[in-house]
Amino acid sequence: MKQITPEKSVRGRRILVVEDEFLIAEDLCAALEDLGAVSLGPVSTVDDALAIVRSPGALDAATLDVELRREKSYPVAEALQELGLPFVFLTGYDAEAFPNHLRSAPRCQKPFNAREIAEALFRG
Amino acid sequence: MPFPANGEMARRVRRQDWTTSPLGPTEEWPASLLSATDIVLSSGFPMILIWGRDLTVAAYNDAYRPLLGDKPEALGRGFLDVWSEARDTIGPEIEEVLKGRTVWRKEALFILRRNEGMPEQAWFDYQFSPVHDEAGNIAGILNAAVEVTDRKRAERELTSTEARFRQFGAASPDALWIRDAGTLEWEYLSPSFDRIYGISREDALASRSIDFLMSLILPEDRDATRAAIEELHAADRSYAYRIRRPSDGEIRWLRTTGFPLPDPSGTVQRLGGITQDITEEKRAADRQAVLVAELQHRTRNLLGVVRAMASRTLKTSASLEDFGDRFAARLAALARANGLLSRLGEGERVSFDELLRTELLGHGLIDGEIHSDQVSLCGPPGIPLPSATVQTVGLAVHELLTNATKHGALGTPDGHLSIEWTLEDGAVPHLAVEWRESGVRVSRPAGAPHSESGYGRQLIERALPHQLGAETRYELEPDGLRCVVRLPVPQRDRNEADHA
Repeated sequence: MKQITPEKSVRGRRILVVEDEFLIAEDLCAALEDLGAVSLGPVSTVDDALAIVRSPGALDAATLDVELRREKSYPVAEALQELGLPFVFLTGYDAEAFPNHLRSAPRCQKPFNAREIAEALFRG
Repeated sequence: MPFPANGEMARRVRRQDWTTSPLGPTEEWPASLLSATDIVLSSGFPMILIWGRDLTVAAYNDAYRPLLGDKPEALGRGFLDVWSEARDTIGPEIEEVLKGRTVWRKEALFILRRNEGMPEQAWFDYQFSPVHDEAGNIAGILNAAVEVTDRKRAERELTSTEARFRQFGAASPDALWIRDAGTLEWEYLSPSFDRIYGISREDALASRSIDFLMSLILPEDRDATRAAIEELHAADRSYAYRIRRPSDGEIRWLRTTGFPLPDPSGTVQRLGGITQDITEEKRAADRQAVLVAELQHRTRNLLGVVRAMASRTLKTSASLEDFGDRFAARLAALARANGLLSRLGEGERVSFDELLRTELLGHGLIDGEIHSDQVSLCGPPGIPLPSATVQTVGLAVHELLTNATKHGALGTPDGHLSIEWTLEDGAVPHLAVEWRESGVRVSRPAGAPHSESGYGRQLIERALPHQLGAETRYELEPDGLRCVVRLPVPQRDRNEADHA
């Protein structure tokens, strides 16, 4: 992976954190802010996430924990896909069976690495 | 010349000294006896000739010799003495023959002593028929006998082998089967077939065709199973497939180990196999795969929580030593919560009072069941916590207890901590907890908590609502902390990693 100082591309970006484990969510928000991003949330449910995603111009990207407390975060990913906004799945499983249309979405393993997430979101 | 026949027995009859026998010297034998002797000696069929009132053995032929084994020479002796061990059977038969009847028996069993006196079983097909003298009276008896012991033994062996195999098949909990290698039709099915396939063997054998089996197999498994059966012509192999069991409509996993049954020439005429229901094994394996994935998920999550705790603790630590103490205490609380979870059986839950007591014990505030004077607990036991909430609730209790010990009710001699809880019924039941500290001398301004108590407060005010959908209040009142938590505790949580 080429080291292209993700800070540059991340700086000022508004990144929504969807993660139900509060301690991890808070840690992730702090890590993204350390990279210069603006963190949104954290939120722990699909409904709360969709409310933010559907507000026009509210965010630039999102990180999605796959397994939320009662549901998977797929609907959020689909909404982001429609809007053409970058997102990355955070997963605790080595091999997770994603539905076909989400199979090519970038994913990062937990425990997260903020630089890796930034890289996955803004590599282009 | 008498007895023109060749052979060992013809010679023996000629050389025998008959003068002392009841028959007298051969020169005095009547023509009927001579000609009957002649018939016996020239026959290739085992025969013995008995003559006169004393049932004297006049002759027997080479074919009959083996029947006598190592018995002393029979010529000239009484027939019933020669075969004394069979007297009970043949004595009455001979009486019959002397009355003019012919006795004919098949596969008659005798216990004979003709091999060093050892008793042995022997089977014979034999016949006693009368021989008449010149005057037309019955003067002798012709006995033709074929020993069928070898054949009989082989049959019995076969019968017992068959019986053993039948017993084996009947007792086996797995289904045993044999198919015709060409048509693939079933030829044999053991009784367990009925239970495993959920149809009767009679029905299965009636519609012998392999298509019948195929109709039970789930469509997606048919081709592979068919191919596997075809391969049995060449070599043995194991294959698994699912059927919809007609008896109850259930889908069952079956595993068959099949093999070719070549005839002596090496041609595979039949295929054999053993079929076993492996549904439970499959379920256990699937369950284990889920558990392993779940464990991995939890471990990664736990590592994330530990890291978050570390960085959080680091931010509020005055020194490395300060960090070490507080981080170790938090890690211990996390370990206690996870310890409770790991001891759960399938479908079991950690209860709130159990978690609470574990934390109080961890902080040295209770010793077994005896409460400190400064702590009172009141609430029903056994309110089950969804497993996903245990870690966070445990950490929150830990932080509150730490704060109470250092700066609150448990840090002053007059202070008191009361924890009350109850279960509120509703569409989703809620656990309501009230944490109340009293007797705290307000030595610091209310609403300006020590930086360290901020973590406990954050867990209560933010983590519980965020993660568990709890409603919380955290208030520093004049004589101490008052904290209220309402936490949904659904009976069953769909997405919960609950199979610890």
